[in-house]
Amino acid sequence: MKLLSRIEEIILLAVLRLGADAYGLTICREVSRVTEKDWLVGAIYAPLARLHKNGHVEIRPGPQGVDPAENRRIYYLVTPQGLEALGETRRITARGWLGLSDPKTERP
Amino acid sequence: MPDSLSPPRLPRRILAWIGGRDRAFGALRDLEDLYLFDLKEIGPRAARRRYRRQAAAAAFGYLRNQFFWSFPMLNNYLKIAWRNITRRKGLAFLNIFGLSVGLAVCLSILIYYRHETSYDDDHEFRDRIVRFEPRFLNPDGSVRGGFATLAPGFVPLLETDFPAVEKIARLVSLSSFGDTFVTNGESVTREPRVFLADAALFEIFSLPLVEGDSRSALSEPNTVVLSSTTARRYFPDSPALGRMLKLENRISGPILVRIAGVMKDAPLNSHFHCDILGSLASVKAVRSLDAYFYGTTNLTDNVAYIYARLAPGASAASLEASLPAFLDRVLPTRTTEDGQTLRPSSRYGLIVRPVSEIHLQARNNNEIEPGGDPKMLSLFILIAGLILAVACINFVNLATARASKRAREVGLRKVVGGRRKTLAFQFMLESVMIVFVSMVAGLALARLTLPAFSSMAGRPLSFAAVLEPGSLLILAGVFLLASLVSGLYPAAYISGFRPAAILRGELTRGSRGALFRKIMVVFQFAVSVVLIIGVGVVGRQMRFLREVDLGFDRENVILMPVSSEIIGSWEDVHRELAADTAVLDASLSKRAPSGSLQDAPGFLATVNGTLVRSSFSMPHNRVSREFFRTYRMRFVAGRDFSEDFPTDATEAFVLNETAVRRLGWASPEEAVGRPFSVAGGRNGRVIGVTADFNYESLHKEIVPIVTYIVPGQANTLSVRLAAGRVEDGLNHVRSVWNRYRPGFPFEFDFLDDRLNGLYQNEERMMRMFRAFSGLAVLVACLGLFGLASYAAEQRIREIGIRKVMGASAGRIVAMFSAEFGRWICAAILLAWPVGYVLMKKWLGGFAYKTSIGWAPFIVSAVLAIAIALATVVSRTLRAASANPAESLRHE
Repeated sequence: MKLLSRIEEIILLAVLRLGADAYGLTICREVSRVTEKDWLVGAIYAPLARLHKNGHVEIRPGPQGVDPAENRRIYYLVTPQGLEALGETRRITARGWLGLSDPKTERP
Repeated sequence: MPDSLSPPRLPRRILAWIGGRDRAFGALRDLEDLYLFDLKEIGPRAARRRYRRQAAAAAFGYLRNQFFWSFPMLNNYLKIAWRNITRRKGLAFLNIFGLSVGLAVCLSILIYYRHETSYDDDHEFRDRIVRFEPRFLNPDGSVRGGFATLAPGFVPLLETDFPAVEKIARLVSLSSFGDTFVTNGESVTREPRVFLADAALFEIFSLPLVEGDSRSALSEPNTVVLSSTTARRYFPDSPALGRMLKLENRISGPILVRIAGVMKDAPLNSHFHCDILGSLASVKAVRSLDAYFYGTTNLTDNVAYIYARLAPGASAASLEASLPAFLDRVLPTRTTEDGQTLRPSSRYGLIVRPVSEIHLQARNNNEIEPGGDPKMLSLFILIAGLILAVACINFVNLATARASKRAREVGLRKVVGGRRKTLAFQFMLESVMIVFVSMVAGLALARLTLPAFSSMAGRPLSFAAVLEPGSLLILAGVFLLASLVSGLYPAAYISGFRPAAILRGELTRGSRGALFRKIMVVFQFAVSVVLIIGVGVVGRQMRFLREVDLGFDRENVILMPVSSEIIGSWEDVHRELAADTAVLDASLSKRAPSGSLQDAPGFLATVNGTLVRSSFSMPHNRVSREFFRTYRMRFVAGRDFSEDFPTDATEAFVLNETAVRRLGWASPEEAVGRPFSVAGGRNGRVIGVTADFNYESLHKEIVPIVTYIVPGQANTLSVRLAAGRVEDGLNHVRSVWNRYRPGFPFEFDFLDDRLNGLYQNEERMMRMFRAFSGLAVLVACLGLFGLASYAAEQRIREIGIRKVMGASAGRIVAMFSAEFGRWICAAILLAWPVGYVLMKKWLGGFAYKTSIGWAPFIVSAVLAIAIALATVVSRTLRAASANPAESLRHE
């Protein structure tokens, strides 16, 4: 199985955290928060489309009963496959860090 | 604040426009959401700033993508276009050749146009230089005639009366006073372009001197300035400045002149060129001429070209408006018989002509050099446009005819997502490519044919005119126009195919397109037929002018300028000339046929008991006794001048028929013997009336003329030689000439050459017209050639089946010919009335004209049909004679 790229991982985590409220803009804001950088809204769509193609996220209809304009938003949901890929990435990272200390906190 | 709730509108619009409505929609949705969040979190100002930044970044991304992805497509378009051109090389050749001929014609005419409109534009004060010209008015105020020259007496008056006139100068052409001979050492040369001028001429025109000082060059008497070429001619190896030459002319007599300067040759696009420019102050020495040129008394003899430089800001129009009042002040008031006073300005006017108008618009009889013809110029521009249109139509026709071949390509492109806009762009690009190649070929063609074209146009044209910014702009315009005209319709037509229909194989040839093509062919051939009719009628008129009976015998007459020696001993000269039988007769005259009749001092006649005094202008001709005999002019009443009547020399007048009619006599017989006098104090009787004859060009009506004997004022010696013995006659005349004018070159013109010279303009126009018409017909044929070969190829199966059914090759060719022939006939029927109206109008410019006749129409029709049929037959014969098994094999 192909490994997730870094940006894919961050976006997938954002979608996971946002849950029912994950669509383009909210994902972008979450990514911006986590990375502490101001992301362009358009910049997340290319990795998001890749995640969708690889089956890590799926598109679901928006919440019912909101105003029609909001229905143009595309909401995303992490698939089980996506979850598994996330877990795999996390384990790889953890294995890589095992026995090492965080350079920022440990070494002044 | 409700306004800040909605995001800025401008970035939104730009984004929608760049990205296309659909694509930008999602992005805009997101941007708006972001804005709403930001509004709450960071405030409206920051929110708006962030919105703008994000929108700008998105727009940039879209643009970069579009640019990036357009390259492969552009590449593809170019590749396909190239393949299409190389696949059908013949067709591409027809297109490119036709278009390049059209463009070359356009270019040539552009060069011609730039030349004609560029006259006198390199003088420093070009916007302020004017020429004063007299105008003679009819009682109703309309202009009866005029000259380029004016009486020099006006110069001091104008200079003192009008502060707007800053500098004023007289320019006198010595050739109008007979020939000028220049002696340098031993050799004597006749110089045709000798002028006298005031020193102020150098302050009006920019005539830079290469030797000498322009401020002092012409201020002293007996000084001259030579043009560089003339200076080199006389003094090839040494500087000319300060050298002496002897100048001899009838009015000045022989004078010794010093060369005070050498000026640069005037550019070719100047309205006058002088080889020798002398100081007018030289004539001051001659007492009678001093008053004639410099006084204020000579207000009637129009002998000098009067140029002026106006003060900055002065307008020629307001100066002209104040001239009638000036004329009323300086000219004497006349009283008519019934006691009415006539204001001078009601009969006589002055106009102020800007120097830039002299070449194209002045068109006076006695211009220094013949000017251009604005009508001719616009005609050629029209022809250039027509040829270009015909060439563009070829392109359109061939492109749409071939469209079915490319239908599959269009269908496929549409299926894989090509939009109509991009397809139209592709086809436009193809036509732009073809036009570009044609433009380059056209430039080369125009460059190669320029020498031939300049000699045809009678103008020294230079290709550099194309590279001026103005010309380049026009060129770019022509390029765009040709690309648009030839590309737009095919692009719209082809890109409009419906893919489903194409791929099912339904569409092959649209009947709508076929009709359009046929209409275009009709138009092309109509243009060609009109031009052929034009060539026919112009040719007929030219022949008419050359061959019409002028009222005298124009063959075997030679004309030469005379000198005072010949005039002084005329009786002896005449006897010696007549001694050889090769000379039939000889005479002196002030005016000779082919010249212009300039002097009309006034007359007095008694008609039916009442006195008629100069009620109309009647030119005078002063001749020697033998004049009418020499020209073999026919008398309708009375008799010729004769040696048997010694009083003829002082009191005999001969009128022409028009003069008799205008004076009011019922018949020529009635006029004979009536008392008649002319201004200057000669009284006598009418002794004879001649048939009307044309002195001047046939553009003009025959005018009334009175002729009487004053050999002393003659300008011209006319000699009639015996037919068939011209060589002997010339030798004899030369020997007599050498006896009386030893050392001076014997130069003469044949009368019929001079007469034909009057129609040089028309001859030239005729030649250019014929060449352009030929090209138009050629280009139209190229188109027909392409269409016919295409039609033959398209219907190859139909031909096969017809042959299988028993049709002969001849019948098939006939079928095709009939089809195209129908449209050619329609074109001819359309062109006839148009050609008739146009040529009627053109002939209207001649006082004496041939009838239009039916011959040009028949010839044009036969020619058009013959050319069209030859084209069609040559293309279809091969298809028709092919073995049907070949063409039907695939069915």
